[in-house]
Amino acid sequence: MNSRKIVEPAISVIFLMWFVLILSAPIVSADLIVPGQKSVSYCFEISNMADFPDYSFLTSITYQGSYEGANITKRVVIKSGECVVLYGIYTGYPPEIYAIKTADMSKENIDSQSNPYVIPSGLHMMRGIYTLIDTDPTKSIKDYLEIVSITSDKFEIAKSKVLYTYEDGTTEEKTYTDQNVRPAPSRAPIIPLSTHELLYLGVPAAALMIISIILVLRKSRKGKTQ
Amino acid sequence: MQMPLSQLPLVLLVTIAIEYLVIIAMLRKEPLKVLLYATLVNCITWPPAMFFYTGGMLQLFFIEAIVFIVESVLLKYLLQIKMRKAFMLSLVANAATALLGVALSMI
Repeated sequence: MNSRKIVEPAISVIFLMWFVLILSAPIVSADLIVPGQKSVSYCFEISNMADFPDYSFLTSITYQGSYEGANITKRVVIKSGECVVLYGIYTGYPPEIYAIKTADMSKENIDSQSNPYVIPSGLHMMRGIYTLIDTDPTKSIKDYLEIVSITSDKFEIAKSKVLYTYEDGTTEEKTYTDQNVRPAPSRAPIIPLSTHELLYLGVPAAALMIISIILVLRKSRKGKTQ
Repeated sequence: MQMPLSQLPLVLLVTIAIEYLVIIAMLRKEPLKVLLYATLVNCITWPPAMFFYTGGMLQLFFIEAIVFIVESVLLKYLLQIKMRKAFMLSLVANAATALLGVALSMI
């Protein structure tokens, strides 16, 4: 039996099936909600709190109140060695870090925005959980903060390093060089081709491969008959 | 061309259908094989053409010229026809799709 008579229709059927599958991909994915994402836990720790024994350190939690959507801000005390996790209560106001002399803690309500003893740092942190692409090997992220200086009206604190823990249990530390940009982990996620890229790269590549196969088969068949 | 993702497969299918109808009308043989070849040829030329086309008649003409040459060569080898015939098939097929595209963009 002529092998070309079998191979070419087989290639045609396989290619056309694959092609229909590719074309239907955007229609299928349109119905899914944020596919390919995973949750990653995040926390931060002040590494040199012990060097400032006269001070306590606070962070703020802002959440929506029970009536008419008013926001309520609470300040919580950060314990020494604690990795602070702020779960799902973020309402658009990123948590800030504050210092207060421990002796002044009971003088006024620490939640009050007008408390004169609370010294803001201007450093804002992020909420406890956020999403990354699900092929990212990162399991959790921990930021280390370092107190630079504290005076009665000025509190300076900076992000010093970040600790990435990967899914396989290994860790990696990176030092901050820019306070606004977290240093990227070395282990990058495998980013799958988007439907656009699949259409612009995958379809021509597959078609070119099939044409090459057809032409090579044809040539080898011709060579055999000669 | 900046086109919604959902529209791209439909536009590609319409392009393949038009080129197939033009080629089969001119060749009048092996309709299934011609369908496969028209699909393969358009799968090679159409995505890069859409990727690089951002607008304007001059750019359209330039891209169509490259598509015309590439498709002519591919059709020559796939359909095992003479180069002159391949040029003719590619010219008419691409002229048909380009004209339809221009006409649709004017609506």
